[in-house]
Amino acid sequence: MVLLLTSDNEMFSVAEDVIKRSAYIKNMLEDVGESDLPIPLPNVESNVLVKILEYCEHYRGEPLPASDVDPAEIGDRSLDIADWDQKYMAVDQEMLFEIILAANYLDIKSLLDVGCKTVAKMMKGKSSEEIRTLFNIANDFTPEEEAQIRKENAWAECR
Amino acid sequence: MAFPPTLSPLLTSNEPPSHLDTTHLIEVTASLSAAIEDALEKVKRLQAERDKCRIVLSPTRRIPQEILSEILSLLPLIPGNEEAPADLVVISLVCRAWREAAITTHSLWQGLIFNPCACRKPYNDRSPFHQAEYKQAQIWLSRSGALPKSICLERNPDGARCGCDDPRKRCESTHPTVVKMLTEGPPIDEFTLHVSSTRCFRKWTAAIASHADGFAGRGTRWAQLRSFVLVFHEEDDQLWDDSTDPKQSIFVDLPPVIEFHLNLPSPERAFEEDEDSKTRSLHIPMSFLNRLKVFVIRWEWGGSKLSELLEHCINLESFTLDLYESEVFDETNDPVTDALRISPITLVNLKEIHIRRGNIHILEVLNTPHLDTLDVEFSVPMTQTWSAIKRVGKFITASKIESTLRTLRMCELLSAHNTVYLPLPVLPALRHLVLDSREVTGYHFGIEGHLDDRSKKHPQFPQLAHFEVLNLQRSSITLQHEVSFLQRRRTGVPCMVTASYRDEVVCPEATLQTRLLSGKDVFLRVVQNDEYEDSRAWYVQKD
Repeated sequence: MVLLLTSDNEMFSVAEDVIKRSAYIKNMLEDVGESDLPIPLPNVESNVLVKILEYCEHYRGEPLPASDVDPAEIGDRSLDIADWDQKYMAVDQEMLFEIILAANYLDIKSLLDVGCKTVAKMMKGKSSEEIRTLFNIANDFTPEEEAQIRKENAWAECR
Repeated sequence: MAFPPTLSPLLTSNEPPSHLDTTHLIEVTASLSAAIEDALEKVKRLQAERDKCRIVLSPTRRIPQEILSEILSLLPLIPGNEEAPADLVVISLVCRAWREAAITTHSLWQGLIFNPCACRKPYNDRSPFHQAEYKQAQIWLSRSGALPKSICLERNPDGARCGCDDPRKRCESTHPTVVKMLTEGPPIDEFTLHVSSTRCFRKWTAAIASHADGFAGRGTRWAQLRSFVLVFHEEDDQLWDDSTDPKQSIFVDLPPVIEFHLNLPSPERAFEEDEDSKTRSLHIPMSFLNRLKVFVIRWEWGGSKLSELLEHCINLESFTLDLYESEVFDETNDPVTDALRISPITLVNLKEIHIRRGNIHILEVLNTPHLDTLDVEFSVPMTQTWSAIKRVGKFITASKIESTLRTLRMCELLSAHNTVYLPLPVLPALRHLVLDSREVTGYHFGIEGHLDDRSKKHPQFPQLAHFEVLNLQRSSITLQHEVSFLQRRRTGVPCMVTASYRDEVVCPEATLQTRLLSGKDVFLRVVQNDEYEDSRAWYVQKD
């Protein structure tokens, strides 16, 4: 078992074959070897780690993607998201981005891909204003800057 | 202010209120309405304050630029978004950080699609409009860094025929900005040209030649293309009037590319008599064909003239034939086809064959000793499906590619019994198998003459890593045969099964997992069909 310590000081005991989906943890275990000390995860809160572990548990036993494998061979192409992954990602927006950040930090590429695809799909067909509203983004352009960008790209919009 | 308690009895009766009570209630109603408006105003103010907090707390602020860039790079994969510059404008206008991320995501700026210029005046690349457009196009493509760049000149979106038979009008294929980009612009990897007729293509090559004269000694971008896509547009009637003299053919001026896509018009549109197409040769220079590594052709012209091209494609590595529901090399009394069946065209370097929407008679006239990908989208009647599948097996055996074939894709198989029997040879190198048919509930495997009886171990695909079973119809025993087959492999490597259903999913993925997966080496995921349909298109586009 591997001990993980989250940023809010919660300790998790996790089976090694589950958490090895994280390349970050996998490399750390290989470098440090067996240890009773917990691995600190200062960028991951406990509620997020619970979600991350749910993902790793679901894919327990499945082969880790090797860097030299053709993506088509393992079914990783285009924007398709497996049914289970879609349900897993049906969380509020804050958690969705927390999962993405944690997947990036823990280096779980397949989870990061699913997160990025989910966000990309949310943007489909939306205007700039709708995207700002969707993700609570402030419009930090001055009206002049905005007009300039529109002018620069006017030729592309009618393309 | 509230409803007067003294008037409560009126709430449980239908007595009309007195004049005094009425006056009082009107006053109360007015003050309540005012209070509600105040409260709503307050709610709005509070919501605005809360929104400010949410904006500041937005998790998107913490997303590093490389992840945002990764997300943005996925946008062109959304169906309908491919090379959609307008969407890039949308992204660029979200906020400064997004604009920065978009500009530094090179893959977003690789391609540009031009529509025919509305001015249609005689060729003039010095007009202020085209000069500005050229500059903008250069800036656009420069953001793709060192990535390969592509340009596409589409046909008129309103479907209007090119009016270039009128000498006062410029041919729509000679778009001044595109001509300039393809002569003196940045290096272009792939150029796609949609034309109405052979005449339009001649005008395109003439425009390039005339523009390039001012740059003698310097190779044009046209001459340095890696890939050229020439589409004779299907919406126009266009008599195929290319010269029968090879030296005068439109194909003489093709650039020396290594990848060539050619969409020929259908015989109905190109010939007065459909049958004429079977005897018409395409005079593509031998030196051009010799150089090709990737050749994609839409060929509805039937007959066996295609062999005149293929026999010169000595360096071909990937060949895609889109038959569009037509037949080729199918005639029994054609001496060329008969001779080729005895002595097939050998394509030593060919690694991939993709056949779209048609029969596979062409496999009878090819010998491909190093093929690693065979991809067939059948379009054959149900009665011929069985022989077509057997023909695939025979081709694999005859070409001796059992030990090199890594990817096999077979689509649109039909069966009267809903399940399809696939008698294939042992394929020890097969890594990726795709079966995609809308009329099928499942598949049985077996070496020819030996139907898999589910009792024995089988050696057929020992290295299979990904098995896609797509567009399945509903069945109570869905995937049982397939998974059982994979679990009985003699030497197991982990295999991912990706399944999609034509209609709704038969049962949830978790149930399928519990019901089917007892072995350790087989994994299952169920994907949405509509999204996977797009990956079908991906195969075609990629080709």
